Amino acid sequence: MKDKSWNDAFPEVPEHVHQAVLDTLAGLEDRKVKKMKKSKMIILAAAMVAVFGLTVGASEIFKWNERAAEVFVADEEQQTALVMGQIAQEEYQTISDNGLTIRAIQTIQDNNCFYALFEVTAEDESIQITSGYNMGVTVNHQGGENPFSMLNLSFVDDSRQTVSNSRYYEITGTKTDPGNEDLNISIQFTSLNAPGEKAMEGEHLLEGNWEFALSLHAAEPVCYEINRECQIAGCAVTVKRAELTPISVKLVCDEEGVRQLEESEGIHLDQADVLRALFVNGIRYQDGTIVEEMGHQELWAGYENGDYTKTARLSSVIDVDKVCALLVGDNMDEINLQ
Amino acid sequence: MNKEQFTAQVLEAEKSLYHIARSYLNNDEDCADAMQNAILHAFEKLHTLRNEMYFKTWLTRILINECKHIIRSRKEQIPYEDYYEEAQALTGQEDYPEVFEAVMGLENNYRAPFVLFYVEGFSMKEICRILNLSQSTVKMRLYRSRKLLKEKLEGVYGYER
Repeated sequence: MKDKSWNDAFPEVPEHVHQAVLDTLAGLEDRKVKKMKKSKMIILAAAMVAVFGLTVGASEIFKWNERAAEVFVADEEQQTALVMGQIAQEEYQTISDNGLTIRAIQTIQDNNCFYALFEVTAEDESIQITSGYNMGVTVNHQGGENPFSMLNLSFVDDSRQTVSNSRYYEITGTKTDPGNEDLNISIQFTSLNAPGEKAMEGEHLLEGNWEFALSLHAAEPVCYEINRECQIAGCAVTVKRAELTPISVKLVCDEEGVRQLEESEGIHLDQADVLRALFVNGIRYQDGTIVEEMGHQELWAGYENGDYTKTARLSSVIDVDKVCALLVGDNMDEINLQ
Repeated sequence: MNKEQFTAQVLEAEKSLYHIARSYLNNDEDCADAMQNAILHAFEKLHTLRNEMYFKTWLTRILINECKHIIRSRKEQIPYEDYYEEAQALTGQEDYPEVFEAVMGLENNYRAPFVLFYVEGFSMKEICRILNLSQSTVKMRLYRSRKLLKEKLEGVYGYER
């Protein structure tokens, strides 16, 4: 379908549109630079950074916020391990402006994905923040390219939190090119908006400036050089490499075998079809325990340089050191890591 | 990137920008406004583009924001639904190929990924960046748009998978 001349079926640029473009280009340097809109709001309070006292117990320090623990499905032992491994990080920044307080609570990231949890509280209790509300927000990164191919920003669903004047706000990101570099980003909130029609931005209820600087460490994955033929959905597929972190998995296979899988499943990945046979649907620990994935959360999949690469977020935190096999597809075909 | 290079790259991308604007907006006047605003905005923010290789992707994203801004401003003047109904009516009145009309008849959520992928040949990674959607969402929307178009275009344009 992609080979068809869809482009030819679309109209040429009309002359008056082309002329408008030419006029704009011709007048680029004459144009007055737009003045930046100054916020009329007064910052009522500055950022507050709290530091833990030494008397707090270790388990309390490493315990995640309950919402983050729910999203990543992590028990207390895993929460501690991820904090120690610098994958999970508690944030202690609170900013109040114009009757709205935003608290940065927790960040979790690895080389494939990013998660940040905030709590937004309106002083005016008549403002009942539902999941239909949204925030005006800009995410800026420092140094290098924008690391994200996708950022999803939203208040927590009403089914997960009681509606009140305070609500959790989540940012989840997929990294474009998985990398192990640390991430320095600033997240600037500019308004709390009422629900809009059809996903449009609603009325700005409160405007202000709430800017958070986050410095995040990307934990290195555990890499397994496999380079072995595995039987997957009845096809011989050479699995080259697997990379695991406690929250995501990356699988690299030789293109040739995956093309066979495509054929046998009657799909076309070039047409953006989905290859279920390589969904990581579970992992097996060395003691034989199988941890099943609850719904495959694919972050990325595609051909590149003769390989087929896929990354997925895991539905629950795993203990990477104990994993001995990945289970893929509906048949849970085994890819042995040892 | 200097002004001359910027101008050359914009002109090279012009047709693509028009098609994308057209997939959001219902008339050429709005498309021209969106393209002009996007060009001006991009030129002002050119210093923020760190890698010129991504110029077209970056400009496309700016353009889509401008299109959404126009839709929002129109929404304040006429009901949202009417704007899209008008869009569909307008495409029916003009002498466009049946294929174009079929694509324009898709819901907006499906139309933009379809135009970017099939008409303009953007890669999946670029589309995810431009639309800020996950790969699985883009795939799902492409799958549904293909299915809808297949129903509409069976027998037209030699359509077959």
